Amino acid sequence: MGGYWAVIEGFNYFVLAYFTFVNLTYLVLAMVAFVGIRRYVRRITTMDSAEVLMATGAPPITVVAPAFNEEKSCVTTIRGLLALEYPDYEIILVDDGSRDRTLACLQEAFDLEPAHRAPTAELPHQPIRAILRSRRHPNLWVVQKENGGTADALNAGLNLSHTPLVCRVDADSMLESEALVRVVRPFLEDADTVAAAGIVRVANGCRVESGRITEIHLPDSLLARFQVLEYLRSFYATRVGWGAFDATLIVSGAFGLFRRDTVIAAGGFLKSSITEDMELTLRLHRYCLEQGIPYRMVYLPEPVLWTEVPERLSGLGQQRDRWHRGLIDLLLKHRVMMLNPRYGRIGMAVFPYLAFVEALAPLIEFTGYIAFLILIVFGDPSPAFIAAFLLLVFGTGAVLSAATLALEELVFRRYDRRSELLSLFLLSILEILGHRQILTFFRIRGTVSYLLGRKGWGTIERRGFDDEVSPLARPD
Amino acid sequence: MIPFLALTLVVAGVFVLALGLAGMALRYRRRNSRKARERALLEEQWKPLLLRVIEGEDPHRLISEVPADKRLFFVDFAFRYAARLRGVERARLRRVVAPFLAPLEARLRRAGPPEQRARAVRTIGLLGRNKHDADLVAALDDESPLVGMAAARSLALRPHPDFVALVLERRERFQQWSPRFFASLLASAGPAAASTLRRVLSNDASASWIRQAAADALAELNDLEAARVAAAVLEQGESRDLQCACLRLLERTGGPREAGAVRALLASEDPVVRLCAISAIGVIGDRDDRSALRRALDEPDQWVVLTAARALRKLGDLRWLASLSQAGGTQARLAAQVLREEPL
Repeated sequence: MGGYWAVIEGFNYFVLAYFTFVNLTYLVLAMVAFVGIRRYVRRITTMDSAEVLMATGAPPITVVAPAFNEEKSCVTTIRGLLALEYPDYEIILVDDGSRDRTLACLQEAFDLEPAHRAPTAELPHQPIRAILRSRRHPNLWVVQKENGGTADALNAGLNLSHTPLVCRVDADSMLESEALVRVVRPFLEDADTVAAAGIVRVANGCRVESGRITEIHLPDSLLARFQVLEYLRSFYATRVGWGAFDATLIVSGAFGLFRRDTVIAAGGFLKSSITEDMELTLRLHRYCLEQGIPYRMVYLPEPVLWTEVPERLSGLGQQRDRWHRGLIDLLLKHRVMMLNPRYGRIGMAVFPYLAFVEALAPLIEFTGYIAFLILIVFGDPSPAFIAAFLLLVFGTGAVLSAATLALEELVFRRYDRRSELLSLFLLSILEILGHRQILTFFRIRGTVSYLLGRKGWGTIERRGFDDEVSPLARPD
Repeated sequence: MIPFLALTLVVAGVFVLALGLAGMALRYRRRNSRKARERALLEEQWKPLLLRVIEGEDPHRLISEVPADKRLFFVDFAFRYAARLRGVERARLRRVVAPFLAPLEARLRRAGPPEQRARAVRTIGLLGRNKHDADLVAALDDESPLVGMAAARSLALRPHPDFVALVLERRERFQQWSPRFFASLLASAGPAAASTLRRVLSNDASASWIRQAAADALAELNDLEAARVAAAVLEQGESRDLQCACLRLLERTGGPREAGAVRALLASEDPVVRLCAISAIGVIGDRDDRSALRRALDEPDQWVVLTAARALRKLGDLRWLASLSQAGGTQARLAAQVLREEPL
C-alpha cells in the first residue's frame, strides 16, 4: 500500500510541476503577444490601406471557400466576400457535394451560369460536376464537386485559382472588409512570406447585415460566451505569442492567405488529415526547411474573420474531439521534426509545445484530478499543497484569461458595452469550474477516438447568420 | 512544506495579478471612453473651421482653437483629411499644422519604437513643408526597414524630384520588398523618372532584381522608349526574372520592331520565360505567330497552354479556338474558357 501511496503522491508532484511549466509557458506567450500586438497596432498606422489599394503592385488574390451543407450561411458569407476592399480578387466557392440547398441558394442569390475554367495545377480531388459563374458578379465562381471533405474541396479550388496568392476562408464565416488589404501586407513587405494568418472571433450574438458584422455583442448562450473567451485567449495570447517568436503554429483553416506555388509544391491540402489547416502549416514549415527555401509565416492580430461557434455541448464536443484527433494525427505524421535541430525553432520549440503542452495536457489534467481527489479523501495533504494545486491548476487559467481581456481592452476594444466586458471577466473565473473540465473530457474522448481509428467530422448544429437553425454536417 | 508555501504565495500573487489586470482594464475602459468623448467634441468643434480653411479662409482662428495638450491629436485629425486632398487644398492644411509639427520632427531623431518614427515620417511626408525633405531623406537611412519604407513612400507621394535616384542609391534596403510593390513605388514618381529607370534597366552592372523592378516600373508608366532597351536586354540572355520583366514591359510598350526579340524566346528552355514570351507575342505579334502559339497548346504546363490560348484569342484566332473547344481533353476546356472570358 505504501508503494501505491508513494506513486500517487509522486504523481501529484509531477502534475504540479507540469502545470507550473505549462502555465509559465502560457504566461510568457501572453506577455510576448502583448508586446507584439502593441507593435502591430502601431505598425498598421504606418501604411494606409488606401495605399495598398492604389498600388498596382498589390498581387491578385483568389479567395477559396469550401462549403458543405451551408445553405443558411453561404449567401451571407459570399455577400460579405463580394464587399471586400481589394483591387483585384476572385472568389471560388467550392460546394463539396452538399446534400441541402446550398447550390440552389447560391443560384437564386447570384444568378449562376455554366462556365469554363481551366485548372492550372493537378492536386488530387474528387471529380468536378459543374463550374458556374455569376452573371451579376463576374469575379464569383462556384465549383460543384463530388463530396470528398474540406481538404479535397480546397485542392479543387487551388487547382482552379489563377493568382499568385490564395486566401482560404470558411463558408460559414465573415471577413471584415479590410481583411485582404491587411493580410496581404506581409507579402508586400517581405517577398519571402509564404503564409499569413488573421484572428478568428466569435460571431454569435453579433448583428449581421449584408454579410458584414455591424454590431459586436456577446452571444446569449453561456457555452458560446465561454468560447469567446477561449478564442481570445487562443488567438491573442498563444498564436500571436508564437508568431512573435517567428514560429507560427497554425494558419487557421477559417482564414489564411498563402502563396499558391509554395502550397502546391508542398503537395496541397492533405485529404487524409483530420485538421488540414494545422497539417498544412506544419508541412509548409517542413517543406521550406527541408528545401532550404527562405520563408516567413506571419500571424497578424488584426484582420478578423468572424465565425459561428457551436451553442450546444454535443456540437462543441464533436468539434473538440476532431481538433484533438487532428493534433495527435499530425504529431505522429510529422514526428521526425520532434526535437530535430534541422527544423530549427519549429522542431525544437513548437513541436515539443504541441506534443507536451497541447496534446498531453488533457490526459495529465484528468489523471491529476483523480490523483488529487484520492489524496484528499485518503491521504493527509497539507493545506498549502491543496491551495497550491487549486491555484496553479485553476487560478493561472483565470489569470491568463484576465490578461487576454486586458489586452483586448487596451488595444482593440471590440466590445463596447461595459457590462459585456465585466461579464467576460466574470466568465474567466467561472470557466475554471466546469467548462474547462468539460473541454478536458472532450479532448480525452478525442484521444480515445483517435486510438479507435475514428476519422469523421461528426455533425455540428449551427444557427446560421439569420437566426435559423441549420444542420451542418461533415461526412464520415 | 516551504516549497509548497512559496508556491502558494507565488500563485496567490499571480491571482492578485489577474484581479489587477481586470481592474486596470476597467480603468482603461473608463479613461478611453472619456478620451473618446472629449475627442469627438473637439473634432465637432474643429471640423467646420477646418473645412473653411481648406476653402481658403485664414487659419489663425483654427490654430488658436487647438489646446496645447491636443496638438498631436489635431495633427492626426488633419492627417485624415490631408490624405484625401491634393494641390492647393493640401497646401492650406500644411499651413494649419505647421506650428504643431515640432514634436514629430523631434521623434524622427529620437531612438524609440520604429513604428512611432515611421508614423512620424508618414505624417511629415503628407503634412510637412519643403524644409522637411531633408528629414525624410535622412529617414531613408534609418536603422529600421519599416521607417525606411515609410520614408520612401512619403517621398514618392510628395513627390520629391530626386526620389528615384535617392531610392536607387539605397536599393539594398528595399531588396526584401515584393518586387512588384517596389516597382509600383518607383513608378509613383511619374514619367519624370523614366529616363533614370531606363538607365538602370540597361546597366548590366546593376543587380538583376533592381533592373527587374525598373522594367516593371517602366511598364507601369507605359514608357514607349523603354521598349528598345528591353529588347536589347532580352538579347543579352539575362536571368529568368529580368527576362520576364522585360517581356512584360514589351507587352505594354513594344511593337513590331521588338517582336523579333520576343519570338526568339518562344523556344526558351525555361517554361516561365516561354510563358511570358507567349503572353507578350499575343499583344505585339502578328498572324504569322499563330502557328507557334498553336504548337504551345501541346505543352505539358497548363499555365503555358492557358496563356497560349489567350494569346491566340488576342491575335484573332477565334475560329481555330472554337474548333479546338469542341474536341475533348484539357486543351478543349482551356480553349472554351478563354473564348468565354471577359473582353480582352
